[in-house]
Amino acid sequence: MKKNDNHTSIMIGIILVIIGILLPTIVEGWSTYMIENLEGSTLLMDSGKLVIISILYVMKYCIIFFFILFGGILIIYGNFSRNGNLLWQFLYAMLMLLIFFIYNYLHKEGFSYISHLLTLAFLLFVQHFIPRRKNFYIIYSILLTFILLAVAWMQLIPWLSKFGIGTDDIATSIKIIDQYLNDNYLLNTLASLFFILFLIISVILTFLVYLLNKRIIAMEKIQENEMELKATRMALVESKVHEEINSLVHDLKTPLSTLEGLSSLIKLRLKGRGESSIKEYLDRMGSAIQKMNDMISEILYENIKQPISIKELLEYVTSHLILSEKNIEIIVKLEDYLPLICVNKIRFSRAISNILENAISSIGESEGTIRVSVRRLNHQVVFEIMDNGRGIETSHIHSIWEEGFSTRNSSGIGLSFVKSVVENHHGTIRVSSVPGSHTQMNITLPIHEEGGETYEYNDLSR
Amino acid sequence: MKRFLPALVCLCVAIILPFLLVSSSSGKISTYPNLPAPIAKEKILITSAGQAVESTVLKSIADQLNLESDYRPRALAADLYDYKSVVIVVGFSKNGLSQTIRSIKEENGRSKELIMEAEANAIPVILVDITGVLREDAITHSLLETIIPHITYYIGLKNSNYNHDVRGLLKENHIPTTLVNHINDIEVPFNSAYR
Repeated sequence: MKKNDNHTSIMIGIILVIIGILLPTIVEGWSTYMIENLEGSTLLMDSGKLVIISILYVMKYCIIFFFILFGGILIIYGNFSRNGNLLWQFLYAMLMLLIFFIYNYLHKEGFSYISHLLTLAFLLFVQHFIPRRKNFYIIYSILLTFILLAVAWMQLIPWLSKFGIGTDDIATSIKIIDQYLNDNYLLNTLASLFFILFLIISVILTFLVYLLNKRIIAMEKIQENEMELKATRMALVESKVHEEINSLVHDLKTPLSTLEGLSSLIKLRLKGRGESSIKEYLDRMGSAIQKMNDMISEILYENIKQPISIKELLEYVTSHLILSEKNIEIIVKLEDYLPLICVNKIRFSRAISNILENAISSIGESEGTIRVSVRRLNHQVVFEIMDNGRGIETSHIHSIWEEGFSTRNSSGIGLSFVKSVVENHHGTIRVSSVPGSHTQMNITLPIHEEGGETYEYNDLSR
Repeated sequence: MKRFLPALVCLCVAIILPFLLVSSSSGKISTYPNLPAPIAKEKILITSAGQAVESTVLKSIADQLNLESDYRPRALAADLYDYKSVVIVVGFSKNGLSQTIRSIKEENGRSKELIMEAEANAIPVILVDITGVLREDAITHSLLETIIPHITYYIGLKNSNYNHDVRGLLKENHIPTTLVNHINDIEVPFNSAYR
């Protein structure tokens, strides 16, 4: 992407340089107008015309050299990624001098190399104060315009002619005619004034850009620090909330233990009596209490895992899904003789539910199918969950696992939770998607080895 | 500081370059403040060699001196029949030349034919160079080299560097020469050529 941008920048730069070199030929009428009016100015002894021609000359000079110098910066920056090193600066200067040589050779206007060198010196100096940001080219072009205006007026200062400045054709004619008409008082005053004015504007502008840039950097740092502080505060609050929930869930265990104890006591009291239906109810109550106890344990301790059949797990997951008013079909396909997997049932079910909920949301109100297939692959079990929803944008495919990333204004923690749960079970998760066609999530989990390390409920129930 | 090195190099070269380009004058030459007696008559053909637009300055001076003259920057040898003297203002201008349909070579040839015709008809030719240091290019010099051996009188500026030994050429051809400080000072020697 960046390489393409560089190529575009170089291409635009080359085009601008070529336009700059060919511009005198393109605007030949402009030169004719200046020559005719210079003749008129001399014959009519009209200094006013001379001032107009001087302004036209400055405009022509600025336009031509703006194209060349701006094109040059696009060519060089395109190659060297604006890193501001010495190499590109020297290369820029050399490239520009070469282009000026070609220009002078083609047009034989005799533009002064001394003026070009001064322009380059000033440009190379000020560019260090222009922030390397998205507005770099805009700021650079504004500064370049003011520098060129200053240099163009400098070409017309007669007393600088002896230093080889302003040796080009039109500038020479203007200065000679001004000498005849005004003994050079006009241009020595006017051109010097404008030269100084535009030079001061360039310097002030550079200084302001530099100050503004410093201020922006400082503001950005403050913002960054504020964001970090906010994130830390959020994490702290989250951890406190998590702690509170854990504590609440843990507190549920106490009344459950009381219930369990009381149901056992009633069972003992009923021993020997013939109330079989009550005994059956009590057994079912005990089993439900035990189940709830196990669930609380799994919520509290993520490392608690139990061997579970995949069928049972998926039944548990799909039974909790809400598909009312949706035109979605869920097809579950399991390979025969699948081994047990060792998972934290509550957390892993939540992870699978999250994926299914995402799939449902991706299909939306339209008709769709979610296929869940599970198969064995060597010592692993592969869950494949595929939906024919709208898919994921290619640019988002790597961001979906990031905490807080969401395209649906949700919390953006769903998939990051899924990933953390899968990784906690020593598994892997991969996503592939074709926007507008489908999304497929593949979860790979190691199968439960007999005698492997698992936690028993009863041992851990508290 | 290191990052400003390229800017400093450009600045130093720009400062040093003018001193390297300036060369000393090629030697002394005897000059006249103005001619002791007129050498030419009216009507004057004022033309240009190199098509620099400042040639019009001579037309303006001639008008101020009430000298009968025509300004024809592209005049040919065939146009000379109507004139008793020729004033050539030398100076190459790319923009001026592009107003004509001639090339540099053709412009050089036109100037040569014009002065040869003037010489053949004993018409005095006055060469005026008012560009000074500003037009000291190879093309202007080649025009000077072509014209100087055939001229009657030369008026130029004192501030010229004469890199190309123009003074030597004037000396060699025994051309009466007047060098002035400013363009406006041309009026006196120019007038002396006619009155």
